[in-house]
Amino acid sequence: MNALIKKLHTYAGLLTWVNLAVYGIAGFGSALQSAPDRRGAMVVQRQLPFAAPPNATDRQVAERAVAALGMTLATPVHDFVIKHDSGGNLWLDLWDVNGPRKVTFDETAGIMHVEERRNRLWNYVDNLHATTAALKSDDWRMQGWAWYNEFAMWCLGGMILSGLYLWLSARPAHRWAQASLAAGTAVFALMWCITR
Amino acid sequence: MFTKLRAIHLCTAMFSLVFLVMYGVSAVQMGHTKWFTMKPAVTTRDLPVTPGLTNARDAARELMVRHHLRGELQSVDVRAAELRFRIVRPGTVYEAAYTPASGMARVKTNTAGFMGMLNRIHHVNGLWHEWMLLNVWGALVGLISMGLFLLGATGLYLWFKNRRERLIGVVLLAIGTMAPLGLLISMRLS
Repeated sequence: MNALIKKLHTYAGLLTWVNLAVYGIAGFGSALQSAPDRRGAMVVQRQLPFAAPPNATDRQVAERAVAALGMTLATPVHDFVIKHDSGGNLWLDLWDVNGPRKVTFDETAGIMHVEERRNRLWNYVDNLHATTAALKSDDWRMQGWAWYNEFAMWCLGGMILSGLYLWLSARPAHRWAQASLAAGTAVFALMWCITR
Repeated sequence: MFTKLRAIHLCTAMFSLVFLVMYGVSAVQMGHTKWFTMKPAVTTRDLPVTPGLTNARDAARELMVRHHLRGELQSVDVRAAELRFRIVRPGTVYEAAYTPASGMARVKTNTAGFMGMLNRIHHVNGLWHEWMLLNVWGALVGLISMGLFLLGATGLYLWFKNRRERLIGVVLLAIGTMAPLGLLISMRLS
């Protein structure tokens, strides 16, 4: 039994080490994150030719724009990204794991203006660490990552339980392990009580 | 060497255990919101504050000192006849509406349950907070993250030293590297 549990613990770690590294990077980056008013973003503005059919609905325009931008990671196009300004003009509030893009249209000139705020690498990793199977994406890469990350999340739980079992079955008297568990639990409990 | 690294792997895991359980359980909650009830307990009360204050920060500070509301000031909204703001800490949100004319603050307290508290701790970030405890939480997040790296590195070593598991381990490691890393890189280059 011990050998089987150790195998499963090891295999889970080997299959999901990249995801665990992603969690670690997300956490470490989160700890070092700047205050909200100091977070800069790389902003890129550009214009692309874009002509929508005259009778196209807002949704049809949005989907053509997303396709023109190659933003498959932002698909399917949800209703909440289709917006209108105070003058009733259509604009799109698009988002994918690489950052947000605001798209406005100049029908007369036949162009669309794109303002892109590309996430820094840490923000990208942070977005990915939070992506689970609850996400439904039309991009196979995004959906694949979502499923794999869901699998990794459950593997982490399995590794916690199996790791605890392996310790208690093999080295329960390990003093340093006992002290580490006591210390970590005490720190968490103290912080919980003070914060609560 | 093997014995030392095994001990490091074990002790790092033991120290991080409760934190990892917190992250894991809250991750499941966020990924499967319908599985859990997250309604906070809500109470409302009126608290006296010095009248005539024009700055939300001053009103918040007085609520913190005089009425022991703990947390960090957020979401200040200045209106014609009142100042609205939040005092927030993991698990508790005070929504305050202070009226300078009367010197009263209506405070709505939202207290999260156990799962809500886990959720909020999961989201703690940064070392820049005015409320010191949030910085301590932030430092712990950084520490546990380093623990994850250490667990991964020592775990890989411990596996490699087990000759019987090397062949199947290489296959699983290849899958566990190429699949997620390939997706990661491909999406970033989009």
